[in-house]
Amino acid sequence: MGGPAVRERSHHVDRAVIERARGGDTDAFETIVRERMDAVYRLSLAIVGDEADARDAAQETFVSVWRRIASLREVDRFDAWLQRIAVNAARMTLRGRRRRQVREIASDDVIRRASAEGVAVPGAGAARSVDDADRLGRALAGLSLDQRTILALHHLEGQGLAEIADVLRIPVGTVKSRLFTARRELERALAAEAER
Amino acid sequence: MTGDQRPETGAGSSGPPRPSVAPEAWDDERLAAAFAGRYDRPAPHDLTIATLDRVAQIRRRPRWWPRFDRPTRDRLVAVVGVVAVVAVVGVVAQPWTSSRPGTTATGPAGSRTSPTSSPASSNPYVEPSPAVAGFPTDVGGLTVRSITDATRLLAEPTLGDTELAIAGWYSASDLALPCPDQPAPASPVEIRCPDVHAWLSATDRPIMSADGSLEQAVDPATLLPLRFVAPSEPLGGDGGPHHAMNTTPQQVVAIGHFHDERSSGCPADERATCEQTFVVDVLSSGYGTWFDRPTSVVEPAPTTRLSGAAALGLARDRLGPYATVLQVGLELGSDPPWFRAKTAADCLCPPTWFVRGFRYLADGTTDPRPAGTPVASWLVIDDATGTISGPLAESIPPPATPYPFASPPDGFPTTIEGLPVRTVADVVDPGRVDRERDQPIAVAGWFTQLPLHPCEATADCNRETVVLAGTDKRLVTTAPGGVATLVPPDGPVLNPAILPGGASRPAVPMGTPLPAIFIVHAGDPRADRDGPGNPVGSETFVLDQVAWLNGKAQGPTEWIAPGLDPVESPTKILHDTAGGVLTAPDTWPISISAVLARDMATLGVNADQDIAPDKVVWVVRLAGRMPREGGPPGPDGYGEVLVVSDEILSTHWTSP
Repeated sequence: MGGPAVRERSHHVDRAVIERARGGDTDAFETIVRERMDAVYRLSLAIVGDEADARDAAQETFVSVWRRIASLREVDRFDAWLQRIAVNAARMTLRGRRRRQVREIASDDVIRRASAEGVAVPGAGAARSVDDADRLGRALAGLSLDQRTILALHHLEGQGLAEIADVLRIPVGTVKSRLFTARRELERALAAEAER
Repeated sequence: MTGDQRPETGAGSSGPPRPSVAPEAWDDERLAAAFAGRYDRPAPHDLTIATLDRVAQIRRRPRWWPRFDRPTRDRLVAVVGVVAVVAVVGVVAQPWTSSRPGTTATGPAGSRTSPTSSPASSNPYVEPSPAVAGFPTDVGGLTVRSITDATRLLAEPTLGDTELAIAGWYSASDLALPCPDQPAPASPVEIRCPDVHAWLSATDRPIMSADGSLEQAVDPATLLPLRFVAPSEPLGGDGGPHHAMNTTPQQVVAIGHFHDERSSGCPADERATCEQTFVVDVLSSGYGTWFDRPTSVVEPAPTTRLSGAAALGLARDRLGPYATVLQVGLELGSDPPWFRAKTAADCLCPPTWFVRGFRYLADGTTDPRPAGTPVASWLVIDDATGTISGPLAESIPPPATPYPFASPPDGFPTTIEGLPVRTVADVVDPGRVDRERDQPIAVAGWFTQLPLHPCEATADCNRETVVLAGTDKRLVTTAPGGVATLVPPDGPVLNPAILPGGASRPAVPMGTPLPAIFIVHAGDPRADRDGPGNPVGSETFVLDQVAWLNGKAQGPTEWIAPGLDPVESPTKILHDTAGGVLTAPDTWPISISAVLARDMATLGVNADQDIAPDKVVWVVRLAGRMPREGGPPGPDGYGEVLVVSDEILSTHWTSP
């Protein structure tokens, strides 16, 4: 399995800001929330697959960060720590919502489908990209939470094996194995989607 | 292949049918583009504000914070201190001797017969514990004891890593604890600023508020900090409640041990604390899954030679039939320092399987603990060679005499259809009962037919309606409005799958427990929800026959595929065609099924020879000793007879 496509990584939060937040500076913490909310929401959305749940998970992430940032020992690894909390928050959000039966249709899905069905979309490959994105969403829905998590970290966040190991706190060898299995399952699910 | 090169998939059309496409390549670039297209979007504009509003309402220091300035370590020391005092007082006031009043020397779990090799003297690790209200007295062959009772054993000089089962209510939280700057823990047993704090409490009173702070002052003597250490830390997911923030206390039995061998990796000044940390091997939750599977960190990997089931089989061969498997794990390219330090082995970089199990100490060992003590440890299996090593493999000889199975409750027969009747606790206990594929197992208990829809109680909607419990407790209550509510069982339950060719639900009153004996088998790939080779999935039981119900023996299960109208009746097939087999001594039919030959696989059966696909095939499952033409009878076991028209086409049997 090759590495993920190169992706522009979001910038890191300034160390001084993190230090101030550790000391209880609410303005500094607000800076962190504003700088990292999009990234946390994006990762949450990929894991939980639902806008409402992603919203809850993202909010829980920052609440948890605020509670625990004083205990953060390695400021330089803030991003991995934040992502670890985001993954756990997404997991807990799903656990809490397990019994919910109503399937929500994300508003972006409606827009996306409208685009695919005739609304002008710039670029020849755009319709296929939209189709790929839709198929990916449906395929991921059939994967386990852990598989969605590791795939999102690798293919959405562009993280390598060592970085994922750091976020999930598992050995690199285990990351490799899980990623391989998840990728295989995803390809199987994507193939099934193509047949539908 | 890039995204632009792949076949058209009909994008732009208004809907199905979408043309079938050839297998596509989803390379990293295309996947990354799809991920970005799907998920890379800004957060809703009001989310940041809503989050900051919520954060502003949170006090930075929870109200309990001053009580635990360095909470993790100090509170643990406080707990251990209290426990030690209680233990010392307990030992001084009431030493564990065979003459101790009010105790009876029995084997492990109290309810079992003592091992014949075990002296009838007091064994503090297995003798009955004061019952904990609402909990079973025995889980997995271990006496269930209270937190106080369990921690009292810390004063026993020979306690070591004896396996213990402790009843209580589980809570976990990612508390906002201030952690001092210090290096990462040297041993996984050390509790030092973990992400999740987990406790077992003696009461069901919530100990934390919804925001994760302590709700009220908690008596540390009734609160046991828990540590979860697995050979390969799972991601969590649905693996169990121990990875969850869970501020609502959950009734559990925690199976684990003090004095974990990995405590040796702790710094000298922390070692005593590490040794007195309770390391959980299995957290057994209620709702019908008290102890139905090992804590699974199995991860079938394409690069391993062994499957999880094969590793488990090797471990069971080594541990013997009277051991219990607690965990199965796989490490890839790892070098666990706790193991390396102990064995001075070279790097265990190739894939390595870890199996943790326990068995009951036999007489004549150098272990200072009394015979019958449950002793657990790791087996380490080299994936490439299957070589087994590890403390349990070397130091503890197999028990001289088998640890006996419990007898079925009073009023049940002890054998049926040639099979010994087991208890639910023994059957659901991994490692206690041989689970070879198709091996018939007779199990006694109280059968309850549950109403539909309690999927969350059994975690499997396909198996929702049939439960065999170890006690006669009523598991369903009905409110005045007719709404049925499930009640957690008091102990282990069997929740078998019902598959084609197997028994159907008997027509009994909904919710009323009736004494019954089920004949089940495990290892059926049709029930393997987690994929072939997964030891967890392969341990799903399949119900073949309700052999005894409310005091009466029942006939074999009869099943005819829907829409099939065979010429012969099941009775005629059993008596005429298969009669030569069935009249053999010690052979009993469990079920008889009719199906078209082309659908035989739905019964989990394959013929030894070609059969016309539109032929009606009768499949008879047998328990007992299979006669073999021209030779002595086969071993005791389980047979299948395929019958077409008037001849037996092929036979298969398995043996224990």
